[in-house]
Amino acid sequence: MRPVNQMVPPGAGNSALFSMSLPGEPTSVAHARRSLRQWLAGHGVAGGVLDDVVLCADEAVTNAIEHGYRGDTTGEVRLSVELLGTAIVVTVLDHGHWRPAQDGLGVSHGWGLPMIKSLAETMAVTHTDGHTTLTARFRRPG
Amino acid sequence: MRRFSTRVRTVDHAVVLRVAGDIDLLTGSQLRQALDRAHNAAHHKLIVDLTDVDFMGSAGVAALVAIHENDNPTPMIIVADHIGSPHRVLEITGLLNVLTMTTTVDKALLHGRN
Repeated sequence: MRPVNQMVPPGAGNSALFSMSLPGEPTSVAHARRSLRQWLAGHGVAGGVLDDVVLCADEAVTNAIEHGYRGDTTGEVRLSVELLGTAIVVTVLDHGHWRPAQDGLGVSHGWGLPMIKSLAETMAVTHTDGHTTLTARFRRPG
Repeated sequence: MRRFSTRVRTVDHAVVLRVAGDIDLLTGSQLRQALDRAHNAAHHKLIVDLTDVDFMGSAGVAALVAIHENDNPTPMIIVADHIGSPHRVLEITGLLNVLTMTTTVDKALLHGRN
């Protein structure tokens, strides 16, 4: 669980990339929230947007772990957050197939994706080559 | 950062479940169990105090909705301030107008009294 934080080199504007790999287990979500919150605050993101982006990332990672790796803690989830000029883009990638959780809908009971849709300006989920990628885009206050 | 914890007490015939810390994929099932136990023990009113919850995700929403929708008729009142994570989550899920909400335990105790 090593965060790999990369600053885009000077000259690329005020953009930056946060990226971390997480094991597909329930303790990962708190770790992701803590690291991302610290990184966003360090890059001048504050207030409601910071809270909303962290909540979105939490839900996307929760979803990936619950539906991609139910009962399989060997899977890996990659969380990336990109700060662009006027946008913040959250991307969560897993290698699962989003099968329904074995005991129904898991601890979230299907609330996670509607929450992300409500928080973000746009949300998309794509399934390609055995990967599931969720992308959510937020407006970055100037 | 506060560790997830729950504490139950009885005040004026109401069962008050106080939750602290983060409600997420790891702790959601513990909340669900604590809510079930508290609701079963409450014959008059269940007050769920989320004032000390630092973060609430979908697991918290699911646990509260399960209590709201179960067959036990004992009413549930949620205590949450307007600026915290629980309030924001209940706002974006449209549940602020579905669940009974107050901002303090004292107000929750008075709720429904004439």
